[in-house]
Amino acid sequence: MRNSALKSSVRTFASSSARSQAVPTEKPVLSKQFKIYRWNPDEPAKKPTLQTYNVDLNQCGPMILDALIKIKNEMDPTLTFRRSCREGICGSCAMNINGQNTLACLCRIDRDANKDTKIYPLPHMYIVKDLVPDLTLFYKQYKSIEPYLKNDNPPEGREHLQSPEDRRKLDGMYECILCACCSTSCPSYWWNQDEYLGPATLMAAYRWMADSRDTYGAQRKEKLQNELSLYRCHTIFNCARTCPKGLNPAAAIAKIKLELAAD
Amino acid sequence: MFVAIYKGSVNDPTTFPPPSKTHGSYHWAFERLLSAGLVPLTVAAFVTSGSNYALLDGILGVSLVMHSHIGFDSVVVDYLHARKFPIIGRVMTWTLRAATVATLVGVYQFNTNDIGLTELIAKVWHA
Repeated sequence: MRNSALKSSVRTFASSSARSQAVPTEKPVLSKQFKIYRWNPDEPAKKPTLQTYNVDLNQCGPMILDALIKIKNEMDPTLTFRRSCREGICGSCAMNINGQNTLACLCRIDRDANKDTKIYPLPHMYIVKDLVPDLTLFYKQYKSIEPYLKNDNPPEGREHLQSPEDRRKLDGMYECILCACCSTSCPSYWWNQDEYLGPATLMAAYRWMADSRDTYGAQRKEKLQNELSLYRCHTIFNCARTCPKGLNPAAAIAKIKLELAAD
Repeated sequence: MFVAIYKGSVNDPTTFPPPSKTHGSYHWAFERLLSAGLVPLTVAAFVTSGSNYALLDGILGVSLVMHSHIGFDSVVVDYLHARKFPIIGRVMTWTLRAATVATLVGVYQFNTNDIGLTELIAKVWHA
């Protein structure tokens, strides 16, 4: 009898109103405008427009990609964009955010709600839909420089050896994820992308020229000996400025030019 | 409708034009050497007087005109290349060549029959 009274009083104490579950503090609504480029290939006659979405930043992750995913999940499932790794290693979510080519997943949302954020696809590319550019030519160009090790006399029975110094020559180039931010920021690539290879592909080309294990350097260089493939680079440096991985394609192109001149 | 804007299939690599050092590294190296050479040349013309060093005036006249020809030619290649503008591109290339030759003739005439480039710039400078 006494025992059960104790039990009930303990339960009462445990579930007393004073010990109710903590309520999360209500964050104020911080609504920011996102103006996003829209174009639908199903209505090709309709001109591309900027569509405005309001996102509550306090209910959204910190990056532009979080906002895009939130818009697609909660407001407009027709919004189309590429994304995959959400951590800056796949290069899928490259787009033009507030005038700068970058990866949406690495770009923080400016928390100033008075300013809108404008999001366009990569500039001067054919658009598949909304924020999805057609990168076919970009990949065809990458393929043209034969981005793989070429060596007619591989060492017998073991792997290629490389000194730490030779390996260091590849640092700052092998990290490229081919997001196309640099190439599509380059005015020369805008005007002449059918012939000019663009910074991303040229840096990839130099990555294999600089590799001590590759024996096709002379042939790789000879390919670029023409008016347009390499020499449309006018050292504008948009590539180095925009690279979301902090690489410097302009330096690689300068090294190619120097090696070709010394050839 | 899908318009074939790519050469070959989507899996074919893009192709390169036949290699030519004249259009490639020689052109680039010449352009850079000319630009670099213009710096001491301009200084030399600045400290000397053109009428006393007619040869210097001549070299300056030729290299300045060549330097601007290469610059303008670059503009034509970038924006009006004959592969995209078969008529305007060729017209502009030849217009530029004609203008360069005319300028060279004019500079030669001016250097031999008149006060010469350096003197002219000095005069304008002090005017």
